[in-house]
Amino acid sequence: MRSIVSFLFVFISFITVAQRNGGDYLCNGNLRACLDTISQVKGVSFNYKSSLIKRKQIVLLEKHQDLDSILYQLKLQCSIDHKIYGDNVINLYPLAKRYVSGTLLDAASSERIVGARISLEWQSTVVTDANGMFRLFTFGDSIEVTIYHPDYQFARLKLSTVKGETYIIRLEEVAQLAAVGVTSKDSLKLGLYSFDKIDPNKRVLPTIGGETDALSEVKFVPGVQPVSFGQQGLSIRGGSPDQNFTLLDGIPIYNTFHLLGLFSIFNSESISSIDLHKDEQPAKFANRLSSVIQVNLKNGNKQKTEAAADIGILSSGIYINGPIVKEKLSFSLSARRTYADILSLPLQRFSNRNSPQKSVSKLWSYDVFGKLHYQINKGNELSLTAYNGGDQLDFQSKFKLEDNLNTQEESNGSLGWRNSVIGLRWKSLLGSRVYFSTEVSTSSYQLRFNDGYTLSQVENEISNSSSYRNGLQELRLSTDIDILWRRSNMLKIGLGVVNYVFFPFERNYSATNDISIVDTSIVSRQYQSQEYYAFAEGKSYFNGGSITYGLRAAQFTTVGRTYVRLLPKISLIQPLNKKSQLRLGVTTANQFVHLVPNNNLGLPVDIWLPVTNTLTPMSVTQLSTKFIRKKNMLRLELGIYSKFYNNIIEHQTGSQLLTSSDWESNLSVGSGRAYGLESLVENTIKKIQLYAAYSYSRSRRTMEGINNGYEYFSKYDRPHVLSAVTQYQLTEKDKLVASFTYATGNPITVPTSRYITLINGEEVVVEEFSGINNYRMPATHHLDISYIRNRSHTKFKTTTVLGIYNVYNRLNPFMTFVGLDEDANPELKLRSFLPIMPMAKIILKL
Amino acid sequence: MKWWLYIAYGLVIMTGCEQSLPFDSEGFEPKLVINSFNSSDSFMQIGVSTSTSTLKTPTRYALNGKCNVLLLKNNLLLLSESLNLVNGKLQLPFQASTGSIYELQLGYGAFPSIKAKDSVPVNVPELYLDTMVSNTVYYTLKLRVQDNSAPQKYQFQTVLHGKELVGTDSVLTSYPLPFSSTDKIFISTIRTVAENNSFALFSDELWNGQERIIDLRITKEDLLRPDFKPEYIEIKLANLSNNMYNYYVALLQNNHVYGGPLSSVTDLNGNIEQGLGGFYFYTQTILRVDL
Repeated sequence: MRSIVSFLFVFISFITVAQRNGGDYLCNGNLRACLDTISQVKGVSFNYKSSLIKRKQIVLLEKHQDLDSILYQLKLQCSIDHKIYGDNVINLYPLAKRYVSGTLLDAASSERIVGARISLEWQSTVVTDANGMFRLFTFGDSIEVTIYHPDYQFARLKLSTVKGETYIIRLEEVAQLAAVGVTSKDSLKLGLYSFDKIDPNKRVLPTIGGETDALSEVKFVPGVQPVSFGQQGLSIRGGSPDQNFTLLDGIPIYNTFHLLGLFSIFNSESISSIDLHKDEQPAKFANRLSSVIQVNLKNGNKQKTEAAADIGILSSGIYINGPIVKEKLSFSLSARRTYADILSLPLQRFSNRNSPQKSVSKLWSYDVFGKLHYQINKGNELSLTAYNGGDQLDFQSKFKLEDNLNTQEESNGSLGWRNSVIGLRWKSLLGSRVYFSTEVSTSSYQLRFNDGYTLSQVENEISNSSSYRNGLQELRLSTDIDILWRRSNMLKIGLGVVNYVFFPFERNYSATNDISIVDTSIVSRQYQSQEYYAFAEGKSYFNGGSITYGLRAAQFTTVGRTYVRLLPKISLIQPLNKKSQLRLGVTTANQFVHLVPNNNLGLPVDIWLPVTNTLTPMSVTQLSTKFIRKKNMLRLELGIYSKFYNNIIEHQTGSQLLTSSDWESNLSVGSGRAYGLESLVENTIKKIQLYAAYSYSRSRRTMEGINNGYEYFSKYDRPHVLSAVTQYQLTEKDKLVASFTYATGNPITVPTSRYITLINGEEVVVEEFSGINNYRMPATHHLDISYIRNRSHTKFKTTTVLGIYNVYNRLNPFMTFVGLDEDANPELKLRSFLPIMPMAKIILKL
Repeated sequence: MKWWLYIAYGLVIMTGCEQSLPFDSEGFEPKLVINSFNSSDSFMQIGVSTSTSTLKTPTRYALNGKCNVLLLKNNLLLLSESLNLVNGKLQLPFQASTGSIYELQLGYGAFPSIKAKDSVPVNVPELYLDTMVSNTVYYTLKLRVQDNSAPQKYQFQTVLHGKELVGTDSVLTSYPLPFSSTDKIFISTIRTVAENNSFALFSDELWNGQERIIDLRITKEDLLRPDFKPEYIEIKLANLSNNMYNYYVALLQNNHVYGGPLSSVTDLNGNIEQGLGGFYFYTQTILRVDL
């Protein structure tokens, strides 16, 4: 509590001095008094209505000597225009407010340009949002703006401020930054958004097998680490993967990685941008404890059809997009599938060739993304986004017996998970100041295990099957309004409702034989919950900085209980000088749904569950501060954060399969804390781009019934994480990329003693676990090098990726167990996977 | 050439390497381990041993000497004596009565005294052999089980008995005999076919006091052993106490993997206070099937 109060005191002090600059003043304070002073000094008289200047303040520095400069500051600071009569009479009247809005588009494809800086000479810069849109306050009949984005031609435009006019501005792409003489100082300025913006197409970071994973670059952001290999998701600032809210065009996705975390579901080709919010979360989405990850799909080229195909070691995919109606309606479709199962089939058939029992196993994964985007008119657009994907493990066994009963036996099974989302969004610009958006979507996640057996004999046939299923489904409806009000203030308000259906454990069994037919549901339990929320979030810009404040009110109704939560937040971006910035933030978030691990089936089967009348919502309060400095192409960041968790949930050790209705008794509730230091350095020197991020962080838990109630390290506690990427532009079209990642080993629980017990008279060695997370695995690190070659041919372009994953063959930890050494004595052993491996991928673009 | 490519590909993807890790067992304190799993039709036996540190090999037979034993039945004193522990074993001159609650207290050497309590199931399970079908590959045993209306926890177990040649003598020997079954009541595995286990646990949630026919299949090849002549199979159906059933279920989930996605930290919560292991009871019916 004390640290929060201290932090708030510092924070508020910064706010109160935020707008003060050094220097001598001509006048500083009450406008009326200032006008009197100016009248005396300049020998002019002002005519005005007293209501016009009531309670207004102005700051005039000594340098504002001439009358023109003073009158200009009146316009700028007090929204007061003037008209001069004769030599010394000045009439003052309210300045007509005008707002300009528009959208930036790629000239070739009509895709939205996100994150472009738009500046007026006297106003702090605004940045185009995720829809490529911007809105500015201005005065006068016309304004001149400068537009800068690193991938596009610099532009300076004069815009007429006709009321309600919405501009569509198209920018030409530049091949390389070096080809453009960056003359504007805007390119060197610091951003005003409080999240990490990632363009997956800007920097290609090949990963295992040469896969171009869109979330690869997210893993290099300080504070982000993959969980230990073999588990799925990202751990951000010591939180578990379910504490990240991943959204695809605003639609939640519940499982975002394939094949035990090898690569994510997002292929770079179809992704426009990724926004990672970890310092503060948008008030609309503040219902996860660690972060919000917004993944935005490309709308599709509205000018011409484009196609791309990629072939790699692990997977292949296609991507097609183009206009259905030029400049109006476009589509975007991508699909990808792994094929280790197809390649391994001949090996399996070879091993089966002499056996009467034929067994085959297949493991594969796939993703399909689709989007339709309809630009109804300048101010209205409609988009439909859909995704389906998952992992699948199938196995089949056939056995034929040469007997007088002609016995044939077949057993088969499958284990797989699926994500499905579909959502419709309508956006409308109402005038130049109000932006309205309505969304409806559904998202489902399901894990299913099926098993079947058939025995066929002469005059005898039996079959039975069972299935196990868990998952959840949600239906979401929301609407929000963005308002540009006053001069440099934006306000976003909205509300929404979500209906959840959880089915944590469903098991069915059916059997048919000569005597009877059984068809029964062994366990089937569903939970329905509803979430209602409303939020308001404001952002005020000032002199190169901004302050963001927000409040989210949420009500969650679950079985037997309703929870209401209010979640405030406030953050400040304060420029220290032209090259440095300080950021401070206090944010709160809570979480009504959580992921419970359940390893009792021998496979990592995770179950999404809601809070209940006994399990209250988890909450977190985060304090963060960051110093940023940018000079030319060098960027430095240094920050610290502290998080305090309440009602956090963890699975008790030794809990059994969730078959009974009292699954809550398998969970423990407690508190947690996480804190750390994050740093980043980024620079471009001629042909070399360097990026390195280091973080030191700790994450601890205190839970009832775990570790005897004493504090212990969370399994996401990895004190040192280092990520570095170097990109060297060999020629215009070829480059070398080297990436290195290091993470301290995560803590695991190993037994403190062993003993022998009996099961039906047979000896079994079992372990006693007296502590939790009492042993630290060796560190994980690897160096990957890749060569990327771009070539243009007559009708198509190719990008070839060749590389080596884990160049020095680091044996990174996968699992531990007690084995035997050469003298048959027990020893703790580590098994590793993914040694040195090739990376290869070729991408063809039409 | 093509096969080598596939093999190389498979090796590259699936290669796993092992290495040893340093591990410090400092601060370890051994505890008494009780292994006492008693049926109602035999005298009570108690195994007493100790736990070892993680990287030592535990044993059941190391303890000898005096230990103080107190046994209560339905809170009435049955026994309070100092008994001789020989190679970690004690035998008590009592048979468990169905429906009774037994409490054991035991002290040995400098170890803290342990305490344990369990109840003997009331019902003895009803098991009948309906038919036995034989083909060239396996025996199929159709067994009829009559469930009781009260909740029960069961275990099937099969044991092979026969004469084994030891030197010049022929000795009666028994071995656990694996069986398979397509009956989905078994929780030993969620697969359809419970394979290669000599026992399987299940509860009667789906039965509700009815009679049920269960198929067990025994592969004839499993009866063959060198210098061994199989004579009969014992099929045991045990009605376990709740505590014993939960203990066995937890044992089955213990996969000895500690880190990684397959790790399972199974805290085996036996009913021994200040110690480890279990003190449990069950009733059983045994069928003998001659071969």
